[in-house]
Amino acid sequence: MNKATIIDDAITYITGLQNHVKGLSERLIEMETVEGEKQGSEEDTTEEIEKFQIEDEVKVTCIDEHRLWLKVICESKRGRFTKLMETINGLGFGITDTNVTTSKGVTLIMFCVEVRYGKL
Amino acid sequence: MYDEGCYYDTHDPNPFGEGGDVAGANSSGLTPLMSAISTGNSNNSLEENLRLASFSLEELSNHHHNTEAAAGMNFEEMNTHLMQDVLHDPDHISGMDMDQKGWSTGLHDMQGINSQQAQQFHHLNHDAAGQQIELQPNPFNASYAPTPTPDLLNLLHLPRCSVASMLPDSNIHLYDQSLHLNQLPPQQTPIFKELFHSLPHNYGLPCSRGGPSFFGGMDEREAGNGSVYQDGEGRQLFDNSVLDFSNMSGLGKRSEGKGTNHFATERQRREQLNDKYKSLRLLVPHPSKSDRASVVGDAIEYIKELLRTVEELKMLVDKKRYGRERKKLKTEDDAAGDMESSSIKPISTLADREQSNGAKRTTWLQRKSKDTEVDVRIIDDEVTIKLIQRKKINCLLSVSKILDELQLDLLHVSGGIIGDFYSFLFNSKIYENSSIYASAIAEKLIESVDKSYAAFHPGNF
Repeated sequence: MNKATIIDDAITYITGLQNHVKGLSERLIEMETVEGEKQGSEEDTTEEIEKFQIEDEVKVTCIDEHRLWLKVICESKRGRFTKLMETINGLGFGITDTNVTTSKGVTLIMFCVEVRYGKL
Repeated sequence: MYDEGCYYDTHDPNPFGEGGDVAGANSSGLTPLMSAISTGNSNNSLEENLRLASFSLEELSNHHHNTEAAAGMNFEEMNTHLMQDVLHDPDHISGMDMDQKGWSTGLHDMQGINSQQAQQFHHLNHDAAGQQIELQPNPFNASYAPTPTPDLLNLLHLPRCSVASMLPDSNIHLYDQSLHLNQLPPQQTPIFKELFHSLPHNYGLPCSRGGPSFFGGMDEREAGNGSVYQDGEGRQLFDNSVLDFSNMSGLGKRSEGKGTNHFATERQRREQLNDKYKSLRLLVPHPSKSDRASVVGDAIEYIKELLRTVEELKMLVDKKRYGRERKKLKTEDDAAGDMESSSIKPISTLADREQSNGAKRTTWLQRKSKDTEVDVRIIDDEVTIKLIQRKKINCLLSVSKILDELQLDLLHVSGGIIGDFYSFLFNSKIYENSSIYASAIAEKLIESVDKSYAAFHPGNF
């Protein structure tokens, strides 16, 4: 095995693997589209089961001149975090720190944000 | 003493025009020299011109360092000196009466050629020689005793080799060519032109004399592209041939030590090897450095990652195919406490490692783009994502959107600004029966984050 053949083999092998990966992922996508509809209903039910009785809570503390500390307790649902993020972005806050924890269907979200007065 | 090499890297276009290619090696200093030579003596014999060319080539190599000096050189001064040196070298020259004082002086200034350089400059010499030959008028030649040494004459009388028939692996042919050139009377510039044009075909030849150093120089030049090499090297070939010619006369068989065939094949071999390295580099998704070791290293990592991905995909396909059987296998704590690798690497690398324990999916994949680094680890149905962003752009929103798209439940997020970086850690769970796989996650994340960089950049906080 000299250098040239090693490199050649490497090239061949890589292209072979790439094709393999491509084929497998395409197959996977095909299979997924077939089964996609079945799964929607299941997930919601599982969430319901774990819900606890906790009230949603939002707490805002002013740490600094331009800083706020937000604490949110809410029910865990998909897409909630995203919505929250959208809101915060919309308000023009710059997020300094983030902490999100989930336990038994309840999410605790804590933000430390910086307020930029330029954007409101 | 006439040595083999003047490497000049700049040739002004030959006065006669077409040598331009050949002469293309650009020796700003050489050109004036050449011009002077050409203008000076119209009656010089070809040998003298050749020698002058050799000298000038020599100069060029030195010249290479002091282009200006060469340009400003006074040919008169150089002549005697140079010619004398040249004379010493080749036997045939000894008989010459170097009258060109300018030459010699100047040439001496130019000299001091490093032998290695000299080798590399062979082509230059040839070039200059070629130019010289074409530049029939030679200021120095006036005083030349137009009595070429017997050796040179003999060489001149060698059977003429047509340009077309010159083979890259035939030094002799090249010599013949140069001889032929030498034989041409000053007025037959067209022939020179033709020869110059034909030089590109003989790129294989010069190597013979340069030996390893020459090859080394040539390698860089080749850049794995034979054709390019040809174009650029045509002159050099000619130079070499001329040089060889003079050397032949003076120094004997030095250039013939290595068989021409070896040069051609070896060079081809090298070129092919370089090409292969390049194509290997192209295959790897994020090549960073272009040296061979890095290419091989990246390729190794990429192959490993591809193997992991293949395993992962196979497993997913099997899972899907056999319904929703969850395979419970021992849990592996996959580096839950991994620290983020907050490296400021602007390069992209791929690292992938999979530990497949039965059917439990464990995948680890890292992707880095210019300002973002994503590390995705999957154990069974839990995904841990570490994200490091170089620029201070708030990406949480986009990331969370994507995670939703990818059907990942956010369980835990933590992160913030650390120095110049945003870094986040996401723990999420894959929805049931979703067959998302690691590389898809990583790629999507990188893609979206980069997009948001692009989008936010103008309005970056």
